[in-house]
Amino acid sequence: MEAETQNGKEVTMNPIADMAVNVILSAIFAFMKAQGLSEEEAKLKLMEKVDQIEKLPPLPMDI
Amino acid sequence: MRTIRSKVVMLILVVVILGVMLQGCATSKYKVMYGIADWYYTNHVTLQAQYDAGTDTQKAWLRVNVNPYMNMMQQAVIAMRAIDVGDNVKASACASEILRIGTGIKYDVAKIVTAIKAKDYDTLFAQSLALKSFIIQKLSERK
Repeated sequence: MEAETQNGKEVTMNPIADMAVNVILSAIFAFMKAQGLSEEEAKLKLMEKVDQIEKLPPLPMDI
Repeated sequence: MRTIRSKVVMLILVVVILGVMLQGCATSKYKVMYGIADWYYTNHVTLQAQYDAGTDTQKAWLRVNVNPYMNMMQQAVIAMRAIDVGDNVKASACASEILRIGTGIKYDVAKIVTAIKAKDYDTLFAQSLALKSFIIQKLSERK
């Protein structure tokens, strides 16, 4: 994480809090984007998006 | 997020937030589904980039605490579309993968579903033994 300064003091974001905020914000904007579509457009875009998701390699994990 | 309670709290928070989001578009199935898929895709790409840019310690933390849940979510999103189009084979395969990631045990969900429908209790008993071993192992690790 890059350090920012506030009043001359270094401030670093808690990485977990940063991740949680990203998750919440992305959810808000994803649903706002979906609201602007018609049902047919949403269905089409859903199919395209899931096709993209299927092609994503799984994230590395310790199993 | 080491304790089970903190993980449950985080999961409940995520479900509540998603529930609030869904309230606004409850009558529109495909808008909801697209919202979920788009949300997942964005977060997967972001997390992959964070992982690639992270230190070894950060990578190790992500591999244990975040990535397995994201990968399960990936399977859930794929299963969501499969169920909608009636592809039960794919949906079962996704469910099997979710169980494999979560428990480390290879389940054949399609076989379990077939066994339930056929009332094949021998197969169901064998599947439940594997789960029992997993639970006992986890309980003994906590001591």
